[in-house]
Amino acid sequence: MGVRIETLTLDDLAGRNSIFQPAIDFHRLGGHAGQQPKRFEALLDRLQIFAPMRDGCPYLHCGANSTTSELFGRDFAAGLVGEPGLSDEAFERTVQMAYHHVAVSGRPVSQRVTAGLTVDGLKHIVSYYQMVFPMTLGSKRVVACLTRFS
Amino acid sequence: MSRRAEYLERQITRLMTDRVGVSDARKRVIVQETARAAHAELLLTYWLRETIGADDLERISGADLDRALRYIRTVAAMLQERADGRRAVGES
Repeated sequence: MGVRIETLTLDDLAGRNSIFQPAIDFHRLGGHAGQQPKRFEALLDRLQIFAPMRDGCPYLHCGANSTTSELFGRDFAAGLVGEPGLSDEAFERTVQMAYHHVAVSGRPVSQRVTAGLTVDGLKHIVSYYQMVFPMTLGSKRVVACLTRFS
Repeated sequence: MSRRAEYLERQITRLMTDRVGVSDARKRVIVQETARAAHAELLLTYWLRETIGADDLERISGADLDRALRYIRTVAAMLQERADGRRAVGES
């Protein structure tokens, strides 16, 4: 199957899984890591952060308890820093549209994503909720993504 | 990112290619200063804990310290405002 995207609201996400509320609060308070270090630190374990460039969205961070880490393992997640994304190009192209949209608009995106992904050679249908939101590290705007399996 | 951060990134590259005679203490200083200049201290702390199992840069040495150098070089490069045509989206 391809990638199916369902657009939601922040309130939808908060209602479906309580782990989104701290990220929503962080975003609504400005999403500045330096100004809210405790909130940011508390999110890091589940967060994925990207540095959107014109030619891709390399990983800046992939938390040990993010869905990517849960799917592919902690070593894989740790090795993603600096990498352009997962090897499934069609999947990456689709999900990165949200990262670029957030980087340009400065507004968060809430979605349910359903896709077929190959893990250890086996195809799995994966479905997860994601909140993609802008945040600031120093003077640099980056894009953060909090995901949970649905 | 600041010129200071760019300078530190070049220092790391030099350290990675010319390791002879570079003390662990010097490497730690470069890692810490680069993380500070890139505003990536919290990312570095998390990475050290999750990847190396250390709470403090002072507790690592040798190959682990070299990994930390490579990590912070990668992060600093991505946080740098690039002038080589790979500018960040939304910042041009």
